[in-house]
Amino acid sequence: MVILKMATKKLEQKEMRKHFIRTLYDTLEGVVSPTPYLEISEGDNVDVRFLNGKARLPTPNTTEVTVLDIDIASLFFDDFHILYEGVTGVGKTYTSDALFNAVFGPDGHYTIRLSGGVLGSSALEPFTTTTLENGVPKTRIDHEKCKKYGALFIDEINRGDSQEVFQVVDGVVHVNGDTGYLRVPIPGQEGKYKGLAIIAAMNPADAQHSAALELDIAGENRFLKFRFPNGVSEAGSSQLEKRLSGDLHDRMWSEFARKTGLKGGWRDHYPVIADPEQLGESLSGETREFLDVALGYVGYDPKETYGRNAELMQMGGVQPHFSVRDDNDYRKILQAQGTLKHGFVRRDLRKIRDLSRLLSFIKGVKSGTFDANASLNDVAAGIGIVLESKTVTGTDYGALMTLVNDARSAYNEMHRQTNIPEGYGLRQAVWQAAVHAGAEHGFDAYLNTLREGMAPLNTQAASAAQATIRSRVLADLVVLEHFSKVHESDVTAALKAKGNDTFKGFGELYQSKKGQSSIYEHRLESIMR
Amino acid sequence: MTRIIPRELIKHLEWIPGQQPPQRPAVNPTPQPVQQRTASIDALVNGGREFFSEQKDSNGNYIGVAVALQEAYDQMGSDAIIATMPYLVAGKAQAEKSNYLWQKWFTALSEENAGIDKNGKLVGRGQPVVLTLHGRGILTPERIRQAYSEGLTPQNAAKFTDDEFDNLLNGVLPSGESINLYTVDDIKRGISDPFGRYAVWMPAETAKSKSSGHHSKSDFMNNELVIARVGTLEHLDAYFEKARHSSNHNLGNWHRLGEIDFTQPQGRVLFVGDTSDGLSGINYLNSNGRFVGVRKNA
Repeated sequence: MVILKMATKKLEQKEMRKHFIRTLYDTLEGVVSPTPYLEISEGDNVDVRFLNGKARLPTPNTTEVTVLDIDIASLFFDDFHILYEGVTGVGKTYTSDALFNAVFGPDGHYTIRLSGGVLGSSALEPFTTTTLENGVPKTRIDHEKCKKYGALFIDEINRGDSQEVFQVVDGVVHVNGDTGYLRVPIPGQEGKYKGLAIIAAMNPADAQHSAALELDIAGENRFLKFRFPNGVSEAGSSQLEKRLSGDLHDRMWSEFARKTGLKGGWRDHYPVIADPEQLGESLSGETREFLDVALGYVGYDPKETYGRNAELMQMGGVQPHFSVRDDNDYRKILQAQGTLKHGFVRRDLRKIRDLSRLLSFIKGVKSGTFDANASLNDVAAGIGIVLESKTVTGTDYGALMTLVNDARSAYNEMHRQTNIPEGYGLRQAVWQAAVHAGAEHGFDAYLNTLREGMAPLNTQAASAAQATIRSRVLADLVVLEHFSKVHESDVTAALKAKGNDTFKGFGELYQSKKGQSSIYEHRLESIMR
Repeated sequence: MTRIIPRELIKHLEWIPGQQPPQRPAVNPTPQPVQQRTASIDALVNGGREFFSEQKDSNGNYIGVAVALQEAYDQMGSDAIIATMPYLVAGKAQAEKSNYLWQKWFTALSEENAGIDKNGKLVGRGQPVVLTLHGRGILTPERIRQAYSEGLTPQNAAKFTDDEFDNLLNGVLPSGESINLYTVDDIKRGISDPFGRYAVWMPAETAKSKSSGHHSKSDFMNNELVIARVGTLEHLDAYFEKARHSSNHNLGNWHRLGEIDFTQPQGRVLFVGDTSDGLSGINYLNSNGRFVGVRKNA
C-alpha cells in the first residue's frame, strides 16, 4: 500500500513537472524567440556543435538546445547557475526576464545590475535593508527578503564585488555577523528548501566594453559560462512580433491550474516541482565511473595520469602490462590540451554532473519523458562543453571533443569486453561479484575475484585513451584489494552476513576505516556507492 | 548507500573454487620503451664484424638473410648492436672509400613494412601506410624462417598477420616492447635516437609517389622515403657525395611499393648497396644476407 502511494505521488510530481514545463513553453512562445545554442549528435560518437544562433536542419539522433531550453532546465538544478557572456542587445536580459516574470511574477524575482565604484550597487542589495542608526547607515540582512525571491538575474556580474557575488551565488550571505540563506521553503516538507535560481550576464571583457573585466577563475568556476549567441541576422523579422505583453505570470499559472486542477501560486507549486531531489539519482554507476576515468585523459597529460596510476598499481604489487607511448597521438593530445586556460577543478565535477543531467533533462523534455537520466553521451557532452568553457578565445573546438570521444570509446570497449550490465560501473561490478563470491566461498574467493576482474584489463592497450582509462580502473581495484587485505578479518566477518547485509557490513567497514588514508576515499567512494 | 547489481548479471565475474587462481606476473612484461643501445660511428667504421650467409635450405631456396642474422645475434651476444640502415649510412658517410663498408653490399637491420591502417591510427581509416622500422622489429630470424615456410608475397616479402601489423601501428612489437613512431617531419627536425629502434611512418601514397631508381641530389635529399630510411639528415649529404655515381652524379633509392598489395600486411628487410646502388627495398627476403655487428660502446 505504501509503495503504491509513493508510486502515485512520484507520478503526480512527474505529471506536474510535465504540465509546468509545457505551460511555461506555451506562455513564452509569443515572447521569446528560440535562439539555438548547441546541437548534440549521438551515434558511434557524440558530438557537440555550438550553433551560435544558427540552427541546422533536423537530423535523426540530433537534439537542438536553445537558450530558453537551458534557462528552463536550469530551474530544476539548484547547483546550476548560468552565466551568459555576450554583447549588448542580443537578448541576455530579455530572455531571463521573460522567464522569471512568467514563473515568479514581478515580486518573486529580482534583477540587479552591478556597477563598480564607491556608490556602485551590491549583489547583496536584494537581501539587505539599510537603516539610519544615530545618523549612521547600517546594513542588515533582511531574512524575509532572503526567502522572498525565487530567482535573481545579475546583470554585468563582472563589474561587481566578487566576494559579495560569490556569497549570493553560494546561497549564503554574511553581513555584520548575521547569516542569511537564499532559498524558498518547499511546502509540506519541513526543513527543505528550493535554492534561488540565478542567471547572470556579462559583456565580454574586450575593447568595446571597456568597463567590463574578465571574471576571475573563482567566479567562472561557480557558473557555467555560455557565449550568448547573436541570432538576429538568422531570425530576422521573425523576432519583431516577440514582445513582453500582458501578465505572463498570471497567464502561466492560470493555465497551469486549468491543466492540473491545482490552485495556488508559484510559492505553492514551483518549489515542489523544481525540487532537484524529484529528478532522482544524479548519475548511474556507469556514468560516475566514466567521469572518474575520463577526466584524467581529457584534462590532464595522459602520461602523468598513467604514471600516477601505474605507481599505485606497482605499490599494490600489480605490474601494468601497458603504457602511454610518446608517439604522434600523444603529441596531438597535448596539443589539444594546450588550448585550455586551466585544468579541471573540483567544482567542474559537479558542473559536468549537473550539465549532463541538464542536457539529459532537456532531451527528456523534448522526447516527452521529462526525466533526467544522464547517459554516457550526456556526460561526454557535458565534459565537452565544460572543456570548451575553459579554452582560450578562438580555439578550434573539435580537437577537445575528439579527446572526449576517444575516452568514451575506450570506456565503452572496456565495459563491453568485461560484459558489465549497462548502468553499472565496472569497478562496482567487480567488487560486488567479489563480495558474492566471498560470501559463498570465503576471503580467498573474494580476493581472487578482484584479481580476475583486473586480469583482462591488464593487457596491451591500443591507444593512449585506453591505457589511461584502464590504468585508473586498475589502480582503483588495486586500492580496493589493498584495503581488503589490510582489513582481512573485518572483511571476512562482513562476508559472513546474509544477503545484502554483506554489502551493508562492507559499507560500514569502509566508512569506519576510510579515514586511514585519503586514497581510500578518493579511489573507493564511487565504488561503494 | 550501495546500489546493488542483480547477482545474475555479474555472476560471470565471480571466481569459483577449483578455478586456477589468477597469477601475478613475476616478471615485467609491460611493453616498455625499448632500451636504446648506442655505439659510435667510429666503432662501426673500424670495428664492425660481418655476418654473411648464402645458405640454401634442402629445397634449394635461399635462406641467407635469416641465417646471417641468426649468426650475428648468436656470435655477438645480446649486448651487441646489429647495424641498421641509418647506422650503415652514417658509417659510410664517415668511412674512407677503402673501408670495408664501401667494398660490399650489406643487409640492414631495418624493415620496410606495409599494410592498411584499418582504424585510422596513423593515416586515414582504411588507407595504406608504410612504416620503415629500424632495429629489431618483427622480422627476427625465427619470424623470417616462418615467412619462408608460409610462402612469401609475389614481391618476395614476408606476410604479416593482421595482429602483427595492427600492433605495429600502435608501436607495439611481437616481443611486447614498444617503440616510438615518428613522422618524416620528426626526422627532419631531428630525433634523439637515430641509430636506435623506432619506426617512421608515411601514407603509402607519399612513398609510392617517389620513383624507384636513381635520383639527383636534390631529389634524393628531399625524398620522404629516403629520409625515413636514413633516420637523420645529419650524414645524408656526405653519404650522397661519396656514394653517387661518378659520372651522372645520381644515387639509387629503390622500392616495390608501387607493385604490392597493401591489403596483405607485409614486410621486408632493407639493403645498402656498395656503390651508387644506394638504398634498396627491392631485394628478396629469400636471398643472401650480410649483416654487421658492433660491440656496444665499442
